[in-house]
Amino acid sequence: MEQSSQVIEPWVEADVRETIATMENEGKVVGSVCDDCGLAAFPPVRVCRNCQRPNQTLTSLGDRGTLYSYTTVHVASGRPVPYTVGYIDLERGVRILGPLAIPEDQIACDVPVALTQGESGWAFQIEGGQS
Amino acid sequence: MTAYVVGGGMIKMGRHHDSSYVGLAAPAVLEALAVAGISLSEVGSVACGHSFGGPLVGQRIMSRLGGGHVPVTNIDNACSSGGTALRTAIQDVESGRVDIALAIGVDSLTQFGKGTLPLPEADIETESGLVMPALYAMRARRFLHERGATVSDLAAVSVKNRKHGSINPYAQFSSEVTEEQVLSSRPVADPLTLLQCCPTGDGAAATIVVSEAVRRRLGGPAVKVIASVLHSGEYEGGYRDMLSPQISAASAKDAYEMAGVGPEDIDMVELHDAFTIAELVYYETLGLCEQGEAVPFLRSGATTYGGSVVVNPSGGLLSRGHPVGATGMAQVVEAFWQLTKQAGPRQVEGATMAMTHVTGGGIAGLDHGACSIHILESA
Repeated sequence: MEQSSQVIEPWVEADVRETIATMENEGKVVGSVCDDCGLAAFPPVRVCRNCQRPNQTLTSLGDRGTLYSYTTVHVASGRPVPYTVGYIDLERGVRILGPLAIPEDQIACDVPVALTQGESGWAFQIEGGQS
Repeated sequence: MTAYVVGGGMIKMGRHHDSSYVGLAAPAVLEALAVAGISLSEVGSVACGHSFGGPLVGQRIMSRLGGGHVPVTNIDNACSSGGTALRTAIQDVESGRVDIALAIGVDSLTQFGKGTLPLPEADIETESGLVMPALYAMRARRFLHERGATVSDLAAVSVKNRKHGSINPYAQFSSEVTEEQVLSSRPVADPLTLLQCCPTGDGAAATIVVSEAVRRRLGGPAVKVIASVLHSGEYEGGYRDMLSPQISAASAKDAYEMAGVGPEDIDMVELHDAFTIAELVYYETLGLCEQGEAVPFLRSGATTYGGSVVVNPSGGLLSRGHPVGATGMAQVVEAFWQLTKQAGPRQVEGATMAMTHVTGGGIAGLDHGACSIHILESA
């Protein structure tokens, strides 16, 4: 018997940064789903967090969700303030952190939101709303 | 209770600019689990050794794989971080606290670009210009002075270990070198030249440590842990003998006592050859040869294949590489492969007992900050 003939290589994660970009691909959030147990993930994973198996397929997680919570940040390091972010619950049990472009009088927990392209790039807005 | 290593994995050491600590460590962890034949959910505790990964490296690795919940301990002990993490996992099993522990060693040095390892600037010797190659260079200078040795003797360590590493697919360097190449490579801190120094690189390794009951249940290849030792450097401000580092000598003494064996029983050693001089010094410190006999011991061929104790069959730090926190774990994975007859073309014939040794960290007045030694036996 010998050690695995295949030498183990590290994960190259340049593609992890790319997958964050795919959140804006054609306006859909792209995640992965496990071929074996069906668990969905964003960003896409190489091995399933549920069953640790490697068979993962890229899949659209849509462009619509529900705003779980949010905040406007006034003090931060490394980026201009203020800006508003929130946790958006997408389909298939996936929650992501995303930029929000929602007027103050319309923003609330549990409002339906959609990923749309506005003046300052892709952000979640009130579903059917105007930027 | 006795602890056993039942699985190991590592990634190919090298310059992996596009991988995070998670990307380095996760494949090694998955391999170790697969080899052991256990699932992540069975792991009862995790110890993660690293020196430069920032907060919560172990938890970040586990969060990507889907593990967690269990205690995860992050350990910085400089070059001994991986060895210390292994010891923590062994303690968890030996104490009966868990049946299955995961030990990880990982570090990325390419994040610092080129040059020597960063040392804490508050240290008086760092302020005065000490870098790790300078420490070993002064050891080498003194060795040449006291022993009548030559730079050719130093170079012979690189020649041997690069030869060993040339058939290790996990080594950062896969080429052999000649004495001329070693001595004509550029000076780093004389008398040490570039090819006498371990390379800058990134890497990770992982092992699975289990109880006797779990080992029996699994029934696969296993090695028994018969000594697990950790020592810290003791301040000695006077005339410290740089050729006889007490931290490694005391660790070796304890390890032999704990295992109930002597240096003559050891078939292979993975020791801390961060620089050529280190291997010569540690032959004597670990008791592999008599004091003062390191050069003839090396020159006799005793420490290469066919010799009485094969030292650094993996190629050691000089060839496999030295991603600081990963090294101690990588040594144990090599020992696991060797003792379970899975080392392929670099198999040490008949090896049934192995020692692993890491030590490092530069602190004024200490030989080193930490030293960890393990002795493993075929189960």
